[in-house]
Amino acid sequence: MTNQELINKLKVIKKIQPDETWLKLNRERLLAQIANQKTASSSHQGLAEVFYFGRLFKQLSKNFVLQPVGTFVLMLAIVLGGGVAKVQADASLPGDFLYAFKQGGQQFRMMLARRDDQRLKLQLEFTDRHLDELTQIAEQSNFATSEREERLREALNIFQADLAYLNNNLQSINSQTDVSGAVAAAQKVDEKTNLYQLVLKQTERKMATGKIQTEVRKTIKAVDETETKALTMIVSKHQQGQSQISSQEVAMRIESKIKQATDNLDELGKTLTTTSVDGKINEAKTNSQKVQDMLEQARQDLANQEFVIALEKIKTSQEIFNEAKDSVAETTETATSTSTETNVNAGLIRENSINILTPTSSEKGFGSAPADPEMPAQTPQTLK
Amino acid sequence: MIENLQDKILVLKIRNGETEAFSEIYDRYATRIYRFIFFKTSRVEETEDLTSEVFLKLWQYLSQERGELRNLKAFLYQMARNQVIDYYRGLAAKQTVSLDERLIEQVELSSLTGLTGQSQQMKIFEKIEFEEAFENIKDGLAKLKEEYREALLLKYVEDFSTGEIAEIINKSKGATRVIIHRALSALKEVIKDAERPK
Repeated sequence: MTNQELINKLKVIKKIQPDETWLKLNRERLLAQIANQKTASSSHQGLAEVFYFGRLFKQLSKNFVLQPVGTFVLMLAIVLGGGVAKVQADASLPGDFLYAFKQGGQQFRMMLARRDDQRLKLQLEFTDRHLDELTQIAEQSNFATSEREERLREALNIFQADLAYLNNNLQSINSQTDVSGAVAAAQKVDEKTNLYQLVLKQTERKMATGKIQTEVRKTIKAVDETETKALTMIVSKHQQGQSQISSQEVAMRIESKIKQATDNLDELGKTLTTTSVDGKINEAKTNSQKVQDMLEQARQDLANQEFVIALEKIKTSQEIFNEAKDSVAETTETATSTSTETNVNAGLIRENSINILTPTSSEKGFGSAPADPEMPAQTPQTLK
Repeated sequence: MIENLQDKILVLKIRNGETEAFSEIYDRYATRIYRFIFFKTSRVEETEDLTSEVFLKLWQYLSQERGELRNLKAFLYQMARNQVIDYYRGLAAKQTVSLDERLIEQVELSSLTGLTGQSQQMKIFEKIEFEEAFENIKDGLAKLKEEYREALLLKYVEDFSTGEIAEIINKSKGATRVIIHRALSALKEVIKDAERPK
């Protein structure tokens, strides 16, 4: 083999490529993290903020009576506190004292938005930040376990509230006459929720089994449902011939959804092979097979451009998948708590055994041995 | 040279706080860094995490450090290399095994065999073509020492110049040239031995 032939063989390694979806979503995630870091380190806003909010204060003064006084005081505190207070609030996480101010600032900005599309854009920005806060808490090692769990719980609640808001916003936009606006909104939500799932799954993997992992899983389900709603909106507008979105793009989005569902199934499959078998695991295996079959059918429907039918099958497969995942989670949690109990009991038995079988220090060497009638008693004097 | 100039402009823009410039650097290098890391870990999840870390650290570095960055590409690969080393050090620490360069090498050797798993993302015919071609050199690469493997990857897959490789692996240009030459000879020898009838 010549050197050139060998080099040509090596160049085959160039074919190794990352998943395109991951590549794109990872970019978004990095940009969101960077945006958060930039906001936290910015310190030149002070006077400009006061001036800006001063102008808006007049505009909003007729509205403030509708808001709780406490919230208004928070806004004022942020504004009058100037750049430093805002910077510190911006860097805070759920559970921190200043976090309420950060939330207050976000609510304030939301109040200023007049149109649904503006509110949606803002909500997506806040949801990105809340997700970043969640991952920061999950990754920080300086929190005690109980504190991390508490903060995570709060962060997850906030994130779930964001999703609920997004769902409502989508519904509201959907019922409006501006179709292209509605589709654009749905497209944005579809892309973002894809990213959110990716990040939450990474967070789930980092959590030990227990209540908090269950909470993360619940949140992933909620994200999945929001994504499906956005996708349903896109497909429906396309089918009604109301939007400019191409069949190719619709197909690509559905394909991406199927791939995501397949990846989830593969991950569940790995857990099924390592978990010891019981009734629930067998049930999960059966359900996994059903999901696989449904997804295969969805692929065929997609190939025939039957977008609505494909999406329906994906939704059904999602429900069955969630059942399977819940079964596995229950089994894992039961096994963990049983083994903990068993270990505790074994420890107690072992401890008691030691007390019976092992001579104590008072018996070793210095105490008298049980008298043996056959053996003459040996005293130090006798042994001389 | 043009690429280097474009990189320099992007670095300046990032230092100015322009996130679009960061986005462009990501688009330019993410796949290559991913491939480099995957070649060392052969695990998709770890590769994805480590790739993200590299780019996040790049942003942090460029935001905070004002010193000149002569070669962004080489710098990125250096960071990626360090990231992988830290990753394996972390693994070794968790297993309470003392750090041993040979241990790292052995772990990397065994991880090479999982490399073709990545081919699942290709189309079927591409997958077959890839696996056939890769099968031929995979075992050969696994038998080389890490220094040789890395040199071959950087030179013939990532198309770095000898000077750039020297910068990444922190050796002189002359020494790097010798390593590349020896690496190719060693790989040829190993493949020839494997093809010899037993």
